[in-house]
Amino acid sequence: MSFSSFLIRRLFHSVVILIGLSMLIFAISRIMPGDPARLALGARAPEEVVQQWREWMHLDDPIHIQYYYWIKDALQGKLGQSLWTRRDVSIDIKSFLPATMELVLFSGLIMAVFGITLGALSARYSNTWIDNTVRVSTYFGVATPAFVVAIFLLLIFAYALQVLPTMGRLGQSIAAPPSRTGFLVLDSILAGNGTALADALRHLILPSIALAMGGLAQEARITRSSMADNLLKDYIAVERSQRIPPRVINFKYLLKPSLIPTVSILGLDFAAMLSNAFLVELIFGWPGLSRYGVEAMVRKDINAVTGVVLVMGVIFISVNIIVDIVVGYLDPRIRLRMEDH
Amino acid sequence: MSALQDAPRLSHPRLRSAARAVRRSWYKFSRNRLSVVGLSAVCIVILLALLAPVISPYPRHAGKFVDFANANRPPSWTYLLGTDVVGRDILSRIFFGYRFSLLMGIIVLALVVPPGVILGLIAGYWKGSWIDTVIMRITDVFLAVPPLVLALAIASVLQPNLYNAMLAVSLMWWPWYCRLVYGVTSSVRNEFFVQAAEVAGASKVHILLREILPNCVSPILTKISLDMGWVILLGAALSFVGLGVQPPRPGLGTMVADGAQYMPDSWWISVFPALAIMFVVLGFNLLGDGLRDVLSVEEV
Repeated sequence: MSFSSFLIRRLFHSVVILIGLSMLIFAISRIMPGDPARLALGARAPEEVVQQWREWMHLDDPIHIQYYYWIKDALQGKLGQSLWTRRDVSIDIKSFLPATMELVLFSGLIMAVFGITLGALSARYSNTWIDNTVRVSTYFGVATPAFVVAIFLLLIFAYALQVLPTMGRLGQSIAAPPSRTGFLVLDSILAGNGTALADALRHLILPSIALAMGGLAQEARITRSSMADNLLKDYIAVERSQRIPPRVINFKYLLKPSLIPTVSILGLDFAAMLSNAFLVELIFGWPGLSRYGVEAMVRKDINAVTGVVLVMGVIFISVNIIVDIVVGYLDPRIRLRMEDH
Repeated sequence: MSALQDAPRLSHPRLRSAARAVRRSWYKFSRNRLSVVGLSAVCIVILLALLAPVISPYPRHAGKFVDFANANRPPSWTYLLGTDVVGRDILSRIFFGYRFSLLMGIIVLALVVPPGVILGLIAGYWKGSWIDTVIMRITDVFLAVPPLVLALAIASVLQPNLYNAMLAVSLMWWPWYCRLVYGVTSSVRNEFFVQAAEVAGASKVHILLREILPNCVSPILTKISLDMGWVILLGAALSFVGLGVQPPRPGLGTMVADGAQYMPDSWWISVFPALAIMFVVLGFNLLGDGLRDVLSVEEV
């Protein structure tokens, strides 16, 4: 199969999933026990107002008609009003999303760089103390929930050593740069504000390490085992016999093909990060979409919850498309396998 | 070698070969020290949970109990891991917390494995038909949302309690088993033994359950042992947010969350329950990895 038809198939597949996802989220929003109209307007609202609201929200119509109205609005970016902030959910999402994306991208960077480096080191020096240290610590890394890592990091670096801040994205004494992208690091660079940049980075360190830890350990393990497998392959022995320099063999012929499994689980690791952001943002007082989501969930703010889940799903689906395209590019066998489906 | 020779004599040849297989697997399993560590950790946790009312120093502290005179005590000989802000012994609460964690893991997997496996068998056996398409697209949809996000959303629209948390986690967990069994089934359905059963006129139920299912047992068992850890972790995360085990019952995640407000001065309130979560998750992970090696499973 050519690369372009692989791409078209993959995108079509995603559209089908997206439609299914919208139905699932709609179903979740309708299984909530109790009367949504009452919940929105409060116990003291007069009955005819509640009835008007019901008609306005099409709550008396059959379920597929309700879905039709809901999806029509959602496609136009109308996700309804948040019962908690009393603003449009889409506006809330726009204002909270950049903080989460900044955190997730930063920790994704930490995860990929350190995970692959540690895994490669571990494979290169297998069965030495380096390898053993990496392997044992990755077991702990995988088994420790992000919120537990967050609490340990807070205790050690923020409270005991007092070298890094505990809360938020920026110190109180520091003026925020004008918001252009919503990403504080980018905004600081654009404004040429060095102090804000340094402070924003300092605030990013702990939450992003907490978020990256599980995926980092996973990536290190997978990189190690796939490199160790490839190390035993005949083609490496042939290359050695041809006196190709070890550095070239290690990077070009060993590391590159060994990264295919690492890249292909990046999507899952990204999902784990989006999930864990819900807890990590709560612990570090990070004003992002995930914390907004948790607050909305605790308050049963149904419009906000559906909006947040929808956005998270769309982000995750897009990441998976990117990962599949990269893997399909790296490994033609994956493209061939798509033909079976 | 001597262990093999000294083995008790079993009369029935089938029993004898089964015993030999078990011994061989145990030998393979126990050669990896980490797997043995994992198995021991899991056994310790199960024992602590089962015996919690007997071995806890203060069993009453697991429920509605306050003792403000002894609140916020650091670890000491009276309270080995200290007490929380209302004076309850952390150690006893961790023992009882393990009960809820294991209960969560067991009930979720009991709810999730049968439907996941059956759907996977059906979709894999009729691969390429509309049944396959429908089932596998539905699993794709459930796997298209980050797991905790979906579980949180479902748990939040229901009443916050342990059972709804289990329900929420179960709703998003079955697709993994469906996918796993689907993979195995679609690869063995063209094998000769399946075709032979078809030609002999065996019923579909017989083919699916007696011919194909036994091939899926090893990967399923491995996945179950790995998933116990993940489900417990997810349960802890839900209760951390307040959507799982409800106070005054001791949920490990709830305990960590409660203690987080009193850091760094009363660090022991969160740190010990956090270590307890790590211990049980690590145990199940190591056990699962060991099983994977022994059963030579690659799919999970």
